[in-house]
Amino acid sequence: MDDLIDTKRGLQSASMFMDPHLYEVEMEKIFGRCWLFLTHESAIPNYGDFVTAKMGEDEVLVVRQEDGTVKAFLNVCRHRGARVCPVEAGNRRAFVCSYHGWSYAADGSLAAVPFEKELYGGKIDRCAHGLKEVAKVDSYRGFLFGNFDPGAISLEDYLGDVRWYLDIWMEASGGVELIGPPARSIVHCNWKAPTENFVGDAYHVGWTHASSLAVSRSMLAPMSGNQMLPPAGAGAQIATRFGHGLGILYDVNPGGHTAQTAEKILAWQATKKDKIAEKYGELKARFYGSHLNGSLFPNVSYLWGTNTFKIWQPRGPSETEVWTWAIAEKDTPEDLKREIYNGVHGTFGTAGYWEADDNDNMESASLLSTGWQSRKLRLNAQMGIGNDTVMDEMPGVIGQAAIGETSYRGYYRFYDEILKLPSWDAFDLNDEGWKQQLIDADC
Amino acid sequence: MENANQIVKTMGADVWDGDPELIADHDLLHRVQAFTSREARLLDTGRVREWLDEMIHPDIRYVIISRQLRYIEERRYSPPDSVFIYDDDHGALNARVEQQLHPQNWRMNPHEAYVRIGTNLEVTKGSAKDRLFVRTNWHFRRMRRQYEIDDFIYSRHDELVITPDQGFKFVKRFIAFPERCVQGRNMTLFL
Repeated sequence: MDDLIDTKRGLQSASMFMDPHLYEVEMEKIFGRCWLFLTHESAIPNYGDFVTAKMGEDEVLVVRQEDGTVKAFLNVCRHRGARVCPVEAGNRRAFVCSYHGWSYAADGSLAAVPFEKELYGGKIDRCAHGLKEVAKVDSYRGFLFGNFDPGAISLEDYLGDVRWYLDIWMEASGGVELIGPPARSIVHCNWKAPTENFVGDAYHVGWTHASSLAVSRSMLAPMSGNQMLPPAGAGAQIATRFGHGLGILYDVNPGGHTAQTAEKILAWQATKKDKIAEKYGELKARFYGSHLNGSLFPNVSYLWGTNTFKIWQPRGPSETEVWTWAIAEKDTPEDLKREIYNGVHGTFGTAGYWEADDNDNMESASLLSTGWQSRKLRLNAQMGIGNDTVMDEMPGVIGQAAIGETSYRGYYRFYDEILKLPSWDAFDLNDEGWKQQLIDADC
Repeated sequence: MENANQIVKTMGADVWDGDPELIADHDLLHRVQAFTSREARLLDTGRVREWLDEMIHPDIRYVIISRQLRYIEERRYSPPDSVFIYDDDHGALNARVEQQLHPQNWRMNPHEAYVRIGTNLEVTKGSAKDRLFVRTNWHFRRMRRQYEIDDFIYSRHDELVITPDQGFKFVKRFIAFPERCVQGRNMTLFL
């Protein structure tokens, strides 16, 4: 574990993509303690509305309560451990296990046990057999997260500096929704391989996606086949305290959308930009019209501009289930919303050709790391190392180039920290040393 | 966003919910069979440009949905229940063809290999006099690189336009893909 991540030099061990023991540690230390995305509030607006979600490999029921709050529970019957709810979404006041018929109320309490009096003779403690509740559930701008660790820091603290960037599209835009249900597919890679890619890899875009860029005629098309680099000052990368990071390409918001859709998006955004500048400042207004690729630690990714929201659900060290939604500004006209939706699923959905471009890289990086010699290699995330800095106007540690690996380094810096952290009690929220770690890094 | 029941109707696939009167004209059936087999052959052998130009109608709507799992008796929860994995018009299909044939499409080099096995052909009258609804079942295997084998098994609901020369073009394709979570990595292929 000690030599897994070398933050000082921007290197990572290839074994992190295959090691089954490490995977178990990740489930305990990361997925057992970090805030994990559950669903968007709009998917469960009414009392009894629910979705099933994944927290690591654990399946959970996320249920809107009578008082309007949201609770989440392991979707596991407390009798013999069978799945309580076999569907993905719906409205229920009670959940009945299909094995023996134990029944749970929307608040997770054990409501009924068939033949309780006759078979248990009053000896079953119902209070002790409610659905196991997820310790914490909280919402940020409508995005619901859960945390298994009762001692975890708050969601707001956990998101930390990245809230400033999330607020650009989650708040300044007028608010967004996730258009569901999600597309779901299996990729044969480690869950970190796609997450690290989205956290800040603008480098691969021109090459991996050369053919997709060429045919899309999108605003990013000039990068196709590495024909050109974005000019100096065309973007930035950001790393934050808890591994969340992003990359920005300025002024090319519609990103991977086709020229036809991009034109409509730009016209739509032009109607809002001045108001955003007035309320949130010129910089945020510019970022609103920029393309943001980012990941929230550990396994959420998004593309603001290409309107894509993903979670990478781990299924063992070598397999990941991908869930993909389209992001849309709530007030977008319905016909444009539909066009954006089609654009998302045509690029980054199950049949998206950008998605397929990426699959090969993520799968080969994961699978080749099983080689006895290959797993001993160090993976390189040194691009831009030594140039990271802090800026007054933008939170986090900043890499001042459109293409660089600052946010890779930030992601793995925290990955290393959380794996070694004994508990959240040992965590100092006010410690700014993490910034210096990234700034001082050098190869 | 439409629910599955709505899109099934829009695509005319609800004709198969009952028992429509099947066409028994052997010559016509043979020609439809030959047409669908030719499509499979073109797609299996990478002739996607010919497929699009010669077999697909300019007004094509090509839809593949994945339906969210819900209780059969669900009445109180009404958000859309379907993901549109594909909802392509001719322009979108053309972009996919261009991308497949692009020399810098690294996925397609070396070539992927495909085999489509089609069966259970049924044909009935279409939504207009010059149209036919066609239902088929398919097992499609993609084999690529050294070890990758992906299987796709599905029912397909097509609508054909009968062209003036008594040939056909596909004008609608609808598939409700039966795996909720697609095991075959991705679906950048023509089902």
